[in-house]
Amino acid sequence: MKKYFGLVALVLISFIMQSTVLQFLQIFGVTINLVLVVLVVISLQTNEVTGAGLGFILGFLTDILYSQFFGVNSLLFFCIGYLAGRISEDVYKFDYFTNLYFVLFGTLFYHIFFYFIHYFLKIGSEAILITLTPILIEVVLNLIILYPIFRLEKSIFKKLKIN
Amino acid sequence: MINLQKTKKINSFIFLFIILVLVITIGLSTTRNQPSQISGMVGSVFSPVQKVFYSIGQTFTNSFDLLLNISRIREENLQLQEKNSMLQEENIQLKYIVNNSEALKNEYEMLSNIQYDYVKSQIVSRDIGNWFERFTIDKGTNNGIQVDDIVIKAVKTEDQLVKVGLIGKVVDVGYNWSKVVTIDDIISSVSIKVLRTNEGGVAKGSINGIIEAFMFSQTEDLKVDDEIVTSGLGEIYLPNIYIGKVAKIEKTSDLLTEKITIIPIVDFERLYEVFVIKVDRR
Repeated sequence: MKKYFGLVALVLISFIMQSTVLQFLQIFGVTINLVLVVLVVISLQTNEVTGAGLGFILGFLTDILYSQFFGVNSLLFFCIGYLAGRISEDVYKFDYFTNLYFVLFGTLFYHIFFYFIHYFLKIGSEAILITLTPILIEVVLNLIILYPIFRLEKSIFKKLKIN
Repeated sequence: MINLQKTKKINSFIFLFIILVLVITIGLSTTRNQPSQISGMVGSVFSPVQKVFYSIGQTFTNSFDLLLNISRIREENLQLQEKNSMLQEENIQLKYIVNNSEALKNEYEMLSNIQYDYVKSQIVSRDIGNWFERFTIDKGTNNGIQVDDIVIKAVKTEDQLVKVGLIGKVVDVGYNWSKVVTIDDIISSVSIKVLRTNEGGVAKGSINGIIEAFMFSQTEDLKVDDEIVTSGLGEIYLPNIYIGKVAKIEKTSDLLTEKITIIPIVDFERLYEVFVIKVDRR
């Protein structure tokens, strides 16, 4: 139980940091997606149920506080958490590069499906070319921030006795 | 082993079921409002915590900016002192005119009477993604804020005039927090007019934060750098709130409308304190 409280606390802290302090650290007008990186790393080290649960919490908060339509972020973060947790059983999840590929595909997955959902809702459907550069910048920033997060999470996981 | 496979199968079914529920929820939320009680509770819990961290972020950014701009600030300070003495002098002259002209006196009194009720508030957090421009503020129904109230900021134009700059409007309210959508957000649309010519149009935000507007008629009179204000049509935004200047004018192929790009006066990336005008819509 302590383990799950610890993981939820980690995700909530990253959400608060993402919505406040990190908003002042924009690079070319793009903010690092800390919550996505944290979610992918935790889901990889745990399992699909934990990943999906934490993803849903993150998405739910984002939808409630910022979104126009409820469910878009809940759905995407839920899927990312579930898939990362599910696939982690078939890969060597302790390797840094495995985490790197997952963050890369996780970020792309989020943006591609975010675009498609809004396309079907007829919002900003013409915008994919405009947002391509910010998405690529975000991918690079997420990969850069992965290293410290990966190291930090390893030591936190040791304390929480996960793995 | 068989049990593990069974659990995996059940998990997959639950996963697919939740996805289905969420897809339906998205569909439903396009026609209905969000469950405001839940969002109100979540916002009430998170808003005070986020306020602290947002202030920390703001303080660090300000300190960093201050270090970078210290020489510019000194120079600006001298200019402002000079300007201040000029304005004081001008103020005395204006008071003299107001007191001596009956018409102006009436207008002055009228303007004093129709001042809207406002609340000063602080931004506590911003949308975590890079797609939209939304933020939350630390005031809500406890301060009388309602959905569709207007969010503004005092801004200084290039000619050093202080004007009321439009930021956006409140779209959701909790007890001690409110959700604000800025005018450069894709879901925003504002009825506008050109200050110089009184021509009307509708401005819309976009996914990349550029504000574009369609003017109701094509005219040769519209120029780059013309000032754009709210027209007051649509009954959401009050009239004559400053939006920005025309940056680009494009003729549309239908020869009926004109497309313009507006540079907003407000820097949406550097917002900290804002004012919410409480509009009585009864």
